[in-house]
Amino acid sequence: MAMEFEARGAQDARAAQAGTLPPVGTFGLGSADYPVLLSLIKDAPELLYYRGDLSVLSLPTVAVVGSRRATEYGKWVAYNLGKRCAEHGVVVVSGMAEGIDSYAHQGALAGGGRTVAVFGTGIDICFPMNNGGLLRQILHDGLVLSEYPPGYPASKYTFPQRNRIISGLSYATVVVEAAISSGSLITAERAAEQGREVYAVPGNINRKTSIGCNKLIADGARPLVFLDDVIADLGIRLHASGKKAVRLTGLERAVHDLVLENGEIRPEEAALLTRASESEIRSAVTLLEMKGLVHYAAGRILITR
Amino acid sequence: MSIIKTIALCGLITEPVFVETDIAQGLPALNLVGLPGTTVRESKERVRSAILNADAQFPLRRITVNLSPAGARKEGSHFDLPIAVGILTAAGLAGDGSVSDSAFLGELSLDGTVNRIGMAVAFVLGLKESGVRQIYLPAENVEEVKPISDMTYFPVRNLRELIAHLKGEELIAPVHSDGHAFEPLPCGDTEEYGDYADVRGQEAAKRAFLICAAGCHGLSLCGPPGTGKSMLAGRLPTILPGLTEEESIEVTKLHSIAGVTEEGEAGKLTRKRPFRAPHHNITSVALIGGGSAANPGELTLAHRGILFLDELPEFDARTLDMLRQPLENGYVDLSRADKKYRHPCRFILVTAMNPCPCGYYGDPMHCCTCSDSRRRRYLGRISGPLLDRIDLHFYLTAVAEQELYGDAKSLSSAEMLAEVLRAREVQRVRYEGTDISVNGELSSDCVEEFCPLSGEAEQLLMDAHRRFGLSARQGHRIRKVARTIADLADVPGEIQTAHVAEALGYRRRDLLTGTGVF
Repeated sequence: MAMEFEARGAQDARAAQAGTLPPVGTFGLGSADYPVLLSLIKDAPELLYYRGDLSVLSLPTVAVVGSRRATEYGKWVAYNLGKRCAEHGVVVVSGMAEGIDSYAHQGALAGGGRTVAVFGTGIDICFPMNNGGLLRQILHDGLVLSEYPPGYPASKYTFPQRNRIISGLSYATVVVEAAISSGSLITAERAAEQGREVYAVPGNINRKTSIGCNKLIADGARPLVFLDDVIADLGIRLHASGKKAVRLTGLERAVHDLVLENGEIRPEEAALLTRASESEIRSAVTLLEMKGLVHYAAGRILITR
Repeated sequence: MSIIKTIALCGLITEPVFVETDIAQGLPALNLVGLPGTTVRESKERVRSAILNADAQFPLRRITVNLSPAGARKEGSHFDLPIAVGILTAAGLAGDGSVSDSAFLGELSLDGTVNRIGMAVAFVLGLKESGVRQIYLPAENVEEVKPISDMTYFPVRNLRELIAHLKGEELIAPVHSDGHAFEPLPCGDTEEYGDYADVRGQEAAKRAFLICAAGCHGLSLCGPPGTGKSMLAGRLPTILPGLTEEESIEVTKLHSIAGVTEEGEAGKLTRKRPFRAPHHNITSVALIGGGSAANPGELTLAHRGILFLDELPEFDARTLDMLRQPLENGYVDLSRADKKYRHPCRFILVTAMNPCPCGYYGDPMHCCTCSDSRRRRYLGRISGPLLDRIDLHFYLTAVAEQELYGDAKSLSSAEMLAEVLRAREVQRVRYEGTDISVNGELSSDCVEEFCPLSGEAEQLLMDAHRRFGLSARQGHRIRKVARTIADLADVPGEIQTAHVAEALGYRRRDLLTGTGVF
């Protein structure tokens, strides 16, 4: 086994030399690079493999985790939370799984910030495979960590194990969407054991993907009422979210207000409530989309900001 | 020696055929040459028995029958009658051969009865084009070809009667075509298809269908099960204008060749717009057309009508990809060893699909059980270039609050049809003298000419290109749709901002991430 890993590592080193990937490095518990927050947890990993920029770890960190099966709402929260954190210099830590994790990383990158992905596999394995594009961006603007040697395959226990590192690296952990048996609940549990703040994004009580979050709140997690709560609680002063005043027509304003009020709305409902025709509503939605105020997905008008 | 006229089918094109019969001295034999197919080769046996059973003599000499032009392959049982008449005339047993200006079609039974043939309409239209005005054909086929104008038919029941007629002993009463019997179907047949008024709470979707019908734009529907995708698509015929006579003849001919004339429609020119909804396990040959004889596929059968593909991702990906060229061009090209065939296929494409394998992604009442990777695989079965060729994209959602829509107005088919007809009239005036009839047919180089934008609208479209990352082709599609929206609003000149903005609302979006999102 070990030989095989070494062989893989050698291949990897060649790729690194060719300039395609940053080299894999390691640091141990007790070394100067080892993040203090992580060293405080009781089962802190002895050795960590990394790729990317280690200086990221000296910045304030927040973990954003959640279900792989995310809804449009969950994706919106993850993305925008990532983005707001990035805008305030907060590093987003997550697991680069599909769904919420990926959107949190993407939001952080889009906000011009740094992000850390902690793998449940060897550091040279891109899991899930189709996240290669995201991985390259993270390597460029952030850091990838793993306690497993290069080539180490994914297995049932590595991911829950990895979750303690995600929460251990972070001042706070936000669970965006989680079903009742989600792995994100393990991360929340670890965070609570480690004495870190746990936030859960409240959701529709009829929706399976939110039950885990709502239950966390019942068990004492802080509900995330505003996106910026996390940042404010870290003691960082909030600055306005680049909202520019935009000029809206009467109907555009009416539609925007309706969406603000309801979170999301069908165009037919908007037409009934504003007494406008379907064609007027569709034009108004397009113009609002162009102004970056709403977006239209899965047949609903949703708020962008 | 005698020469008898008949006709053969070659793909969707009919070609006149001359049956030449020569009787020479020699051992009794009947040789059939001129590339006959299996059915035609077997006609030798039917013809011999039929002639004998019609109490006529079968010449016991060396008979050679040539089907000219000899190089084209001939299929079909309708060659029986012309071959029999050819032999009888050559032997001097059926008059003096004064039938050279008539054509013969018909299949023989062994007892001499003349049986009904398929594709009669196509054959008669083909013969009419080649200048024939008198046709002898099975009595049972007369009704269906009667609407074709300027023709005289001799309905033949059996060979005995025909021989008597040709000898001048007992004449068959000719039937004249009843000329302009074509009545366009009163459009909007809500009895058969149902009324759009029955679909409540989906007014935005109806608007999309209205635009689709007004400009013949393709429409792609996506939405959870039970939101009325099939119900809406099934009612599209009620808001389309009826077939014109010219279109009707075209469609009848195609359907006659494919043998799919509908129950109750036989004996008439088709007046209903085709509505084809093939099942998703259809093969590419059945969809596009194919086989050694280049048989028409569903695309061609949907010509001048609607092709509805339900459960789009369940179709074979390669089969779907074959739709690309026909959608762009309005015809299908099939190459066979001997020939190239071009089948027409101008139809309105309507597709329906679920947003994910479980069907409930984005549904507020049900929980979707699909991961992103599963959805990616599912949606990935449909190629982007195919979706790019569909003008309108619409996402349906479930009507959550029934009571909200309880007394809201529900647009009916009749109201929608009136709007469609008005927009069609605007288009008719615009495209007078061109070979375009509706906005959906505009090719990208005509867009500039026929879809002028106001200054503000142009700016909006340019901004949208940047903001939404539209391709040039998508931009053209949006302009065409905006043209139809303007026509519906009775604005025949420059397209305004509101029209472009609405058209942008029907642009193709990334169904996986809901792009435009961030």
